Amino acid sequence: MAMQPPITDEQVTALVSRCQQGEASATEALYDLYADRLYRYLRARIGDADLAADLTTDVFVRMIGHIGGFRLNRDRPAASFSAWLYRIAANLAADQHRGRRRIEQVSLDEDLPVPAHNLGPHAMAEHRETAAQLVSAIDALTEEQRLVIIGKFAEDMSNTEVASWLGKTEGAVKALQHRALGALGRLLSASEK
Amino acid sequence: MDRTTILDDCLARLKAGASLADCLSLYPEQAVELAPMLAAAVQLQGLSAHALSDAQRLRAKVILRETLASRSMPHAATSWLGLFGRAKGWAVAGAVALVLFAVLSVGAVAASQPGDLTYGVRVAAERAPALLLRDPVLRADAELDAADRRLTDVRNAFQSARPAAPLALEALIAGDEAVAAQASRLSEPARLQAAARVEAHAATLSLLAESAPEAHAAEALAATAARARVIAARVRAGQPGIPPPAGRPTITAPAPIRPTPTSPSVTPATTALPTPMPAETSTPTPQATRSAGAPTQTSTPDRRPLDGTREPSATRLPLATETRPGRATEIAATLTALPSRTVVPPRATSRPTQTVEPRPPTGAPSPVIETPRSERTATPGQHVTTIPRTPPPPPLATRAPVATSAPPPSTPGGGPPPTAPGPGPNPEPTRGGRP
Repeated sequence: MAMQPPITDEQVTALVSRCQQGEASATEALYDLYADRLYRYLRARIGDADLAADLTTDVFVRMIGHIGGFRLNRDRPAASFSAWLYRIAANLAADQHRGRRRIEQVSLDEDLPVPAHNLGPHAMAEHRETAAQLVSAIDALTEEQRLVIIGKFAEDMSNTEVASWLGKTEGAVKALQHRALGALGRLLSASEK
Repeated sequence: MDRTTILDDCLARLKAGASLADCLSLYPEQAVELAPMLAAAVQLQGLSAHALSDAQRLRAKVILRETLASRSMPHAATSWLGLFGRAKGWAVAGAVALVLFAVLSVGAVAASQPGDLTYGVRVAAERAPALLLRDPVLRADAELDAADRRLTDVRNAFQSARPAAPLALEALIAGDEAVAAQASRLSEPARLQAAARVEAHAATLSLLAESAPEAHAAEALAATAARARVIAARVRAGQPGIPPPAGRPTITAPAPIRPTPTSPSVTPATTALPTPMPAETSTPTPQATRSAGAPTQTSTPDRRPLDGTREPSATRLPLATETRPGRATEIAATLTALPSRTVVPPRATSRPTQTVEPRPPTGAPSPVIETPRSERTATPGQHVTTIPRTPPPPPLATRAPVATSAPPPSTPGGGPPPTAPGPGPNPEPTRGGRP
C-alpha cells in the first residue's frame, strides 16, 4: 500500500500558475502528484488496468486544454484543483461506461484486487467474477459515495482528510461511507445470489 | 454508539489487521447489518495497491509534452507571425488604397473641366510652377502658357455648349495680369512678344463672344477680352503699375458690354485702336475700305464698323457681329489658327492720336453707342439693322485719327493689309480736333 504525502495548497498554487503559462515541467509535476490517485479511481471504476492508465493520461491532456480557464479557489487551492481533476476523470469514466454499454463489452480481466495467495482456475474465475461485480457496484454509487470510498480505501485517507478533500464534515463523511458500504454490500450479496 | 461510528471502528480494526469475524464479534447486535458492509470493505482494500508503472508514466509524459508542443506552436505562430502578417496585410491594403486614391485624384484633377469641383485645383496646380520662377522672362512665359491652357478650357467649354466658365476666365486674366506685372523687367522684344500673346487671348475671346449663343456668356467673354486688351497695352508699354479700369465689368455676372469709360489719362496706345467708323455698311467683307490713298488702319477680322459712335475708351468693344448659320462652329474650330490682333506700338509720334474734349456734335445725329453685342447682322445681301441698346457715350472720348499722314504700323504677325472703313450709308459725323 503506497501512502503518498499530502498535497499542499502552496504546491498546487505554484504549479497551476506555471502550468497555465505552458510550462512543461509544471505539467509533469502535477502529473506526478495526481497520476496514481486518478489511476486508482479510474481503475476502481473501469476495472481494466491499461484502459485506466490511458484514461489517466487523457485526464491530463484535458487538463492542459482547459487549464487556461481554470480558476483556483483561493481558500482551498489543493482541494479545488483535485476536485476539478476528479471531475474530469469521472466524466471520462462515464464516457467509457457508455461506450461499453453500446458494444456490450465488459472487461473482466485479472487486474482487479487479487488475493496474495495463488488461486486455482476455479478460484481465479470466481475472483474475476467478484471483481467485476465490485466494479459494477462501485459504478452504481453516487459520485460523493464513490469519492468517499476511493479516499478511504484507495488513498488510505482518514475521515478528516476525506472531509477536507471533499469539503465536508467528518460526520457527513461517516454517513456517506456507511451508505456507500451498505449499498455495496447489498449489491455484492445480490450478485452472489 | 451509532452505526456510522461502529462501522468506522470496524474499518479501522480491519485496516489494523483484524479479521472480519473479530469485528463482528465485537458488535453482535449489528453483525447482520455489518457483515456485508465489512465484506465489501475487505474487497475494496486492494484498491490502494495499484499504481502506474514507470513505462506508463514515461509514455504519459511523452504524450503530455507532445500535447503542450502542439498547443504552443500554433499559438506562437498566430501570436507573432499572425500579427505580423495581419499588420503587413493591412499595410499593403492601405498602401494600395492610398495609391489608388492618389491616382484617381490626380486623374480627376487633370481631367477636370470648367464647372467641375476639382477644376480649381487643376488651375492652381498648373499655375504653381510659374509662381516659383524668378527669372522674369521665364515667369512671363510660364504665366502665358498657363493662360493659354485656360483659354483652351474656355474654348472647349464653348465648343461643348457649356457655360462660359468664370473660373477659367478669371484664371486667364490672372495669368495675363501676372505678365503685366513682370513687364517692366522684360526687354522690349520680350515685352512685345508677350503683349502679342495677351492680345491673341483677347482676339480669341472676342471671336468666342461673337459666336456665343447666349447673351450673358457673350458679355462675359467680351468683358474678359476687353480686360485682356488693356493688359496687353500695359505689357507693351512696360507699365505694370497701371491698375485696370475702375469700372471694368466682372466676369461672373453678366455685365454690360460697354464698360465704364476710362479717364482721359489713358495712354494714347490704348486709345488708338478704334476709330470712328461708319455706322453701318452693307459691305459683305468684314473690313471696309474707305478710299484709295487714304491712310490705312490695321483692323482685325473681328472688328466691325461701329455705328456712328466714338470709341470712348480703350475698353471699347468691337462687338458688332456678323453672323451666319454655322458660323460659330467655324470660328471656334479655327480659333487657334487666327492671327493675333493688330498691335499698335506705343509710339505716339508715329501714330498721332489725339484726345478730344467731348462736344455735342452739331448738325449731326446724336451719336449712338454701339451695343456690346449688337443685334445687327451684316451678311451679304441682307438688310442691316442696328438696334442701339446702350446709353450715350461718356463725356470724354479718345479716338485715333482716321486719316493721318503717317502710316500706322503694320501688324507684327503679318496680318491682312490695313484698311479703313469706307463711306457707308450713315457716315460718322465729322468732328473737330483732327489735325
